[in-house]
Amino acid sequence: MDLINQFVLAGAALLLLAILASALSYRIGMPLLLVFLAVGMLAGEDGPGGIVFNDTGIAYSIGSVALAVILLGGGLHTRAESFRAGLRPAAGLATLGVLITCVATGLFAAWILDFGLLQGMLVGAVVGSTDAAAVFALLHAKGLELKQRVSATLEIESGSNDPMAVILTLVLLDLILAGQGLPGWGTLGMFALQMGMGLVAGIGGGRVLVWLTHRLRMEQGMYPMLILAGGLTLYGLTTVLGGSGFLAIYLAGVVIGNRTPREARNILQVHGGLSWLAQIGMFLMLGLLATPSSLIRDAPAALAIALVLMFAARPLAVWLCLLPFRFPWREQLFIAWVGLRGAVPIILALFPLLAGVPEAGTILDVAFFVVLISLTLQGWSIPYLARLLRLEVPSAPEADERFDLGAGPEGGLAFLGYRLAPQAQVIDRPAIDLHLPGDARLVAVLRDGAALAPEAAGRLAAGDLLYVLARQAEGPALGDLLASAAAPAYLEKRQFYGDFTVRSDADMASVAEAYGLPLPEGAGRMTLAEFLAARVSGVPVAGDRYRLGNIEFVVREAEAGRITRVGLRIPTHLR
Amino acid sequence: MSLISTLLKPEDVLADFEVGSKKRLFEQAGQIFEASQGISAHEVFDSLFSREKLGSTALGYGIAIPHGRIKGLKDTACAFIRLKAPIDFDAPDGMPVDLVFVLLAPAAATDLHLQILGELAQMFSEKAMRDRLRAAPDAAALHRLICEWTP
Repeated sequence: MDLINQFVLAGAALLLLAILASALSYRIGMPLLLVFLAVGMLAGEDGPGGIVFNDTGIAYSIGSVALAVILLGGGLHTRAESFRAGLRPAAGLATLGVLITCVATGLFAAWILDFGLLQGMLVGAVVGSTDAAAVFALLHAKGLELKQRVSATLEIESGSNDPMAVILTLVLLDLILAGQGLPGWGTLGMFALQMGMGLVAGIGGGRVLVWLTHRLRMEQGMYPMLILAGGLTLYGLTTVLGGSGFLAIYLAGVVIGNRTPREARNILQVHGGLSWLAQIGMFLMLGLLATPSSLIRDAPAALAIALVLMFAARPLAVWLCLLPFRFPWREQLFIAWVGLRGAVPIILALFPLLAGVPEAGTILDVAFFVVLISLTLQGWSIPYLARLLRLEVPSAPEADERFDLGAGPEGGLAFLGYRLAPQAQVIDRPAIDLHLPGDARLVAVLRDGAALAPEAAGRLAAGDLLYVLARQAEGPALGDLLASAAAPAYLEKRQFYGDFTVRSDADMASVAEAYGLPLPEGAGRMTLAEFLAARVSGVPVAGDRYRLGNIEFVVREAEAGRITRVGLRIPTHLR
Repeated sequence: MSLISTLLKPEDVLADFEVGSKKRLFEQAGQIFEASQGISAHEVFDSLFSREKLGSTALGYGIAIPHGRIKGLKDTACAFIRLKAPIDFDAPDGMPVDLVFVLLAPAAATDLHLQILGELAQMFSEKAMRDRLRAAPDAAALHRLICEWTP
């Protein structure tokens, strides 16, 4: 009994330490996951903690469940809108891309580690997929907002490429254990089965879960739990039946997140927290599992493999897979660099260990090393690279408080609370004379603990909390007016999108006429939206820009793949 | 020194102007430029109005910078108008507009025209500047404020 209590204490203390350490990571910009991994390693056998944890079976089980929870959370937060921009490129990267990465890295690994070809490929397969937890965590880090085409591609890729890496690993293991030379047609069938079942179970199961939330009357707190239990059941069932459970639970999350279940906001919030818990738990455990002292032995070779993966294999895979989509080079370079490896390689490296492959120890060490290097080098540099490549877009300022009225978060009414900062535009304006966009109306002003009706509030002052009743669609315009995002100068909206906004359905001939622009052949009969859509690569997203004469057109908003608002920027004036 | 200060003459500034609508404002602007530049009021109206159809030239916070190109015009011409009562301008933030800077460029517009537009937008984006413009007692004070502003 005493021993169990001590385990609970040690586990809880580690968790608390990891959460407290995450606050530190915000200050020094260190990737969060690296913090958790480091805390785990410090607590482990070579660190001051001295905890010996070598049970690969338990590690594998916890890792898989944690990964499933993370994928569910990632899916819930993936908007169908982002599928439009990112699905097709991501699908190529998640399948063919993993294969190319696996083969390129595998060939090099076989050579440098002096392994057989299949064993080398196994190394490649283990480190082949990008990590959803790491990518989600980094792309949603506070303050980082990327062009949708880039973030959508990376998110969907990372959410859906683990099955491919799992399948490659399993197939290679089978071949090695059976003493065979090369994969045959059976491999392809197995692949199709895994993907197909994952697809069907995920989409079908997600719909059933949404239906259940509407059907059942439960305690408020039970709805997120229903989604959690249902999602994990889907994962388990699909895996047991021979499909890809990871793909299933990710897709179930996407379906649920986009079909407005009852208590949608509650579900999102709870699952945001659960994802963090799963990531902390998983990386702590992997840190504990590692034996840093034995890593040293394989370090030179592992470092070489990590570098080949980051600078040759991944860029090659990205370039080949994105060829049909004509991504601008900046976006390709960024996607190639955000090939973050996380927990999956380490979990996959446990497969050969459990199967008793002789090279398994080295493979685990290499996987660990690759993950460490990737999280450090790539994780740390991503925000700077995003800025350098100019892939950031101004983030839409959010309300400080929000209360949904009625059923779903989409299209419905909500009470939004905005705390006015000293530099807010509306300071000193009379509360009754606010001119809010659309049907939005000011309901109350909270000042010094008293709720004032707009008529009684007089002039607005810094620190006032404004409660506005508004439709979901008015959120962005309200945010622009009331919330004060402290954006760096280069992301300030006026700088980024330009001073004027032009209608996307304006005809190009009139636009050219108004500014004396050189009109290209055939552009005279187009609308501005058509003109721009033909000149950006892929599906247009906010932040795409095109310069004509002395004017730069910047896409401000795109909905359903169509440009809806365009900014007019004077590049020679604004630097 | 700003580009605007070399361009804006004291007689181009009007304080406490009274118009009821955007359309009326453009008609009045046409008359002003017809008198000062010898160009057709009708042409000014058409140019400003057709630019406005592409999207409002209001920037928000009660500011608008209507602009257009005019064939017969020799040099860039401008006028700054402070309205007595704000008018609806279809602004991005929904605020009615009371400070209007009209900018007209010759047909063979150069980059200068755009530079001035950018400079104007920058000037009006400063809250302190907007407050001073609204508090200024008369046209002469408005002219001085704008000419003293530096980017």
